[in-house]
Amino acid sequence: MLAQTVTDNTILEVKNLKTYYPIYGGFLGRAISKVKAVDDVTFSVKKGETFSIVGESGCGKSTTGMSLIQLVTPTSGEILFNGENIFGKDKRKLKKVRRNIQIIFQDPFSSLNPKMTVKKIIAEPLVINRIASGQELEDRVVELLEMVGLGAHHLYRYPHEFSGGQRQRLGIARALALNPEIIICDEPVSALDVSVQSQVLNLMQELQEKLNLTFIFISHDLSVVGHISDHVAVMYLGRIIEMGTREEIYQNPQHPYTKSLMSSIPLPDPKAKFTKKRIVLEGDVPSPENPPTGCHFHPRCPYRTDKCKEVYPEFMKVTPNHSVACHLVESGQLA
Amino acid sequence: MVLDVKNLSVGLGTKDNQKLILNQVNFSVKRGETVAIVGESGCGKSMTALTVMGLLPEPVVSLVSGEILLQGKNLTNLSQKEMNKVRGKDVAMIFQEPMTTLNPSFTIGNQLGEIFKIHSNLNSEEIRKKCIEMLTKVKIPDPEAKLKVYPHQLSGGMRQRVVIAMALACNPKVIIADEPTTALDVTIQAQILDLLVELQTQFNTTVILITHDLGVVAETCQRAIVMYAGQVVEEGSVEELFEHPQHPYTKGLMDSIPRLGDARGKLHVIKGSVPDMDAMPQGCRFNPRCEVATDICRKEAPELEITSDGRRVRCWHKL
Repeated sequence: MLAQTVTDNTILEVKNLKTYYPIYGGFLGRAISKVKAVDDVTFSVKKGETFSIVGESGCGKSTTGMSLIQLVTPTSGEILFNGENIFGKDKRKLKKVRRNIQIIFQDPFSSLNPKMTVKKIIAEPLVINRIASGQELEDRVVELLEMVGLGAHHLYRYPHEFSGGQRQRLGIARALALNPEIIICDEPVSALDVSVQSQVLNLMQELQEKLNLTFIFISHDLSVVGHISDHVAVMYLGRIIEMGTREEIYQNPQHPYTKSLMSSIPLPDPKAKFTKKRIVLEGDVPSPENPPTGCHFHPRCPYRTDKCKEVYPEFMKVTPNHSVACHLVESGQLA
Repeated sequence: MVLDVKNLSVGLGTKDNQKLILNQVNFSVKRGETVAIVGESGCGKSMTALTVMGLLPEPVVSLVSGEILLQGKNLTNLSQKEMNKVRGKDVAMIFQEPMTTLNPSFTIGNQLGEIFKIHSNLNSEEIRKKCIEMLTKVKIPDPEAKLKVYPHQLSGGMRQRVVIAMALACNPKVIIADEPTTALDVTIQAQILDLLVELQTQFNTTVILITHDLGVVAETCQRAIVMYAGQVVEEGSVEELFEHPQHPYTKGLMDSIPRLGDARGKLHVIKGSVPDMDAMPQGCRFNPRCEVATDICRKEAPELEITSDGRRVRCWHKL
C-alpha cells in the first residue's frame, strides 16, 4: 500500500487516517450523516524532504494537515511520528508532540493576532512551553526574525504594519520558534503576489536546508508544488488517488484526474496554447457529503467503465516510486 | 477602436491631500480583441476597470483627469443616470467572486431578467425565454429549472457562468473581466476560460481581462498591458511580451513564476515590495527594486515610449 518503502529515515507515517465530520440535523439535532473529509489516507514522509498534498478545494488536503497535529480530531487511523503513535494522546503529551510539528497557515492576515506585537507573537510558543524568558527570550526572537529576513527593529510593531510577504515571514518565524522537525505548510504562498511568492519560497527552501526541516506542503497550485516538492500526493474527495516522486507525477501522470489537472494549468508561454492539449473535465467536484459510488472520480472521468461505477479501485504500484488508484491503469487500458 | 482610455488619473483622498492611485493611464482596445491588464495587487488594475465602469467609490476615490471614449462617446462626462444606460448594455463587468456578485436573496431568473427589464422593452414571457437562451449559451445544464434557483444552490463554477450570462445578456461592446477565475479551482478555471474565449468569438465582443496570473494571459489574450504602481509600464502583443520583455519589472515577473518541470532551485526574486502610495520613490517608480537602475532612474521619471509597432515601454534602460 505504501508508495515509498519504509526506511530508517522515515519521520512521519500515516496509516489509514480517517477524519469524518458529523452533520447534525433532524428534530433532536443528532448526527444524521457524516462528511468523509479524509477517508483512508496512508502515506509516509522522509526526514528533510518536502511532501506535497495537492488537490482542488474540498478534497480534504487541509483537513489532512490539521488531522496530523490533531487540530481536528481524526476518527481513526495511526499517525506515527518517529515510530510513535501520536493519535489519541492526552493533551499534555500532545503539547510535546506539537513542539515538533508546527504549522504555517494560508492567510497571513488572519493567522496573526492584530493586538499583539511581533515580539509577543513570536515569543508566545516559547513562553507557553517555558523554554525561555527575559533577555534570553528577546535574543531568541531577534534571532528568529533575522532568520526570516526581518530584524530587531520590527520587534515592537503590530501585524498591520507589515506587507503580506513580511507577515508570512512572521508566520514562518513563529513556526520555527520551537525548533520543530516537521512544518505543515497549508497554502503558505497562495495569498501572495508572484514576486513576493518567489521570495517566500526561496526562504523556505533555504531554511529547510539549513535546519534540516521536513515540510508537508499543502497547496492547490501545481506550479508551486512542482517546484518545491520531492514527493507529491494528489487527493480527490478525501482520498489519495495518485502518489509518487515529483518527477513521476509531473512527467508521467497516470490517473485521468492527475492528467487533466496537469493539462489545466495555464502555462506562461504563449506558444504552448498551440501545442498543448487540454483535457477539460466535465462537471464539478461532487459534494463529499454524498460521494459517487465506486471510484469517486467516475462521473467526471472521460474513460469510465462499468467497473468504475461499482468498485473503488485499490492503490497499486506502477513503478516502485509511483502508486495510483485506478481500474483502467491497473488493467492497462489507459496506456 | 472600441475603447480609448486617455490620460486617466484617479486620486484617493480629499482635494488638498490627494494621492494619485492611477497616473496618466493610456490604452486603447480594438473590436473583438482580448487584452490583458496584468500586475500585482495594488498596481491599479482593478481601479482602472472601476473607472471605466463609472463605479469609483466616490468621494473617497475620484477621477482627476482623463477621458474614456467608448466608440467616440466620452463616458466621463455622463451623468449617473446616463451612465446607468451604458452600464450593462455597452460595457459589462464580470467580478472575481461570483458569490458576492450575485444577490443571495433573489433567484437566478430574477437577477438575469432584471438586465432585460432595464435595457429592453420585452414582456415577461419574452424575458423568460431570453434568460433560458442565455443560460443555455453559457452551458448551464437544465436552464429552465435553474431560473428558480438561488445562488447558494449552485457551485462556484456554475455561479461564475451565471455572472458571464448576465454580462453578455445585452451583447455589450466591451466586457471587463476582473480576475474571473481566481476564486475557482484549476479544472473549473479551464472550463470557464474555454467558455469565455468561445463566447467572445461567437458574440465578437471585446474582452479586457484583468489578472495577476501570467499563465492565463498567455493562454487567452492577444495583447497585454503591464501595470506597476498606478502606471502602465509596458504594453505589447503577448508573444513579444513573453519572449522579449523590455521592462525589467515585466522580465522579473516572468522569471519569478515557478515553471512546471523545473528542478528545485532558486527562483528569481524581485527584491523588496510594491511601494506605498504615501512614499512613491522619486524618478522611475520601479527603481528601488530594479537591478539595472542608474542615477537617471532615481532622478527622472521615464515616459511611456513607443518602441515599435504596438509596443510601449516606460524605462530608461530598455532590455
